Amino acid sequence: MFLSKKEERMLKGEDGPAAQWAMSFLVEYGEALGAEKLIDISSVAVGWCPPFQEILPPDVFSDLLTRGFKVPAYSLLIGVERKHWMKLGIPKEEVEKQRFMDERAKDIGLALTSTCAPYTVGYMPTKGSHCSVVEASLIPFVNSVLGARTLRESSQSVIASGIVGKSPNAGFHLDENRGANILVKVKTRMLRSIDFDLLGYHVGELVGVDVPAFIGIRKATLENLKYLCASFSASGGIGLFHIIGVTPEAPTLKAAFRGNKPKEAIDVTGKELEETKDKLCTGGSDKVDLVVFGCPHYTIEEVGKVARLLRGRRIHDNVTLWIFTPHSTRTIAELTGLESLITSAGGMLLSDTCPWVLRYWVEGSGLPEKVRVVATDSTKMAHYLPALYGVDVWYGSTESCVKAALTGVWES
Amino acid sequence: MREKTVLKGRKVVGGVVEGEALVTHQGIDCNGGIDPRTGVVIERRHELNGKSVKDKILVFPYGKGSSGWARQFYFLSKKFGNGPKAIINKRLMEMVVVAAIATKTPMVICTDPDPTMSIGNGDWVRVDADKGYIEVFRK
Repeated sequence: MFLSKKEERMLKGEDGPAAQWAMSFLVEYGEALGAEKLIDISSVAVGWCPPFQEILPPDVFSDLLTRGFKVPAYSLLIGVERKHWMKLGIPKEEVEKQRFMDERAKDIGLALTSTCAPYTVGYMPTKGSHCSVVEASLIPFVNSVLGARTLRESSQSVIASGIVGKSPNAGFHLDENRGANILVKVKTRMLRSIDFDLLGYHVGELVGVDVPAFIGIRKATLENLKYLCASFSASGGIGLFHIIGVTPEAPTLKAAFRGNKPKEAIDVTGKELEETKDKLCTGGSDKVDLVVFGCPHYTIEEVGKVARLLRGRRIHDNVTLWIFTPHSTRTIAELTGLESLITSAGGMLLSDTCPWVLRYWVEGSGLPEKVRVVATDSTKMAHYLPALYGVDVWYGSTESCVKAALTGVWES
Repeated sequence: MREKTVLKGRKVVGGVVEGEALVTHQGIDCNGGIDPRTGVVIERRHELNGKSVKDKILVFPYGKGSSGWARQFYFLSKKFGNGPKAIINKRLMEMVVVAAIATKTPMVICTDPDPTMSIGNGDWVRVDADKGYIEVFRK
């Protein structure tokens, strides 16, 4: 790979151990991806929580703390709940570890957005700009909805990119890799987020790592697209997609394909979406113990919707109800009076984490012990929770989940 | 002497290893799909569910799912010692590349023929990742 004189110097260690590690990592990564050079990026979205230190050499981590990131950085969700950690049974030492990380943020150029959906709280790389982003649902959102350009990054590679402000010039950074190669004809009306969630899950299983172009979707909200991005990166590995007439690189079918011939055409009808829904429900008892909302993290609109459904009601005594948001959305919800509608009904508005990362990043925490049956409006949660916790799952619309929270029973 | 076939691919991470093949036609998710503490595939409805990837030559079409893939693979392989000996993929996925680099796990991309069709479960496989050379001894 071609390196500039400045990059060569970094590789030799002249700019310190962090830059040296980052450059050596990016060279190996770039060569494996077939990149001819590195390109400058304008921002990174990075994981910033304790287990992360384990994957960096100690001298690299301490040098990063001294020198900071080269480009603006935004943080992803974390393994603790900063406010309600005690109620969730998160060990204090884990909260302290996170506090150590948090206290470094201001010195290294990191904004503590602390969410899997930072685009809902201000992280908006613009069309055509290059960045490095990790988090499976964020990657397709940035590439496809915003039209910015990122590889399907990992925890290690985004840190390397952030330290030197560079990424291998490969994959989705290049025009030639941004064309669709699979046509998906949507033959059912796409009205609600659940339709997009199920479409994504179904297509992700079929498409894998290819680039699908959807026709038949006339419009989509931010929330709709958030679900689409999360679901097909749980069932598959889609990092870029186009919706004709909706996403920025797909004004027409021709533009979306960039000269590629579709290697496959897939029809999706309401039948496939119904089947996907059935497949995600594991069966078992209809007595629900826990209802989980906010995967990906809920927007303020979504928080408002659930809050209004709960207004003046009380959730069932045997049910725990969790809604996950970024802390800045919780602040808006609190100010607007939505949080009190939720808490008055017996629910909890939680921030910056989710049941999945609680389990993997903090030993011994996760779901409350008594939980055997979970209801959720997220295919991604429905996909992961049974494997991680051995629980049964009911998947359905937000309204169905609220109903289950109120009655304690899932109605199929 | 067992029947031998040879596949040619492209090096992602170098190294020479041999071992028993574990093959799937489905994508693999390392974060939430494999338990790093045991090496066992836990994804529901996955054809490898219940099988361990430990010390196997792991053959799968592509990486999918969580972008904590590489971080979790690092824990699987380096912290708990349950990683596969080598990775053979049909399609390149950046997260798997990072996983292989960070753990120095030999990795080869082989697009034609499809390695998930040409290699069978239990076959003995010798991977020379530096040369992108894969020898398969039928079970």
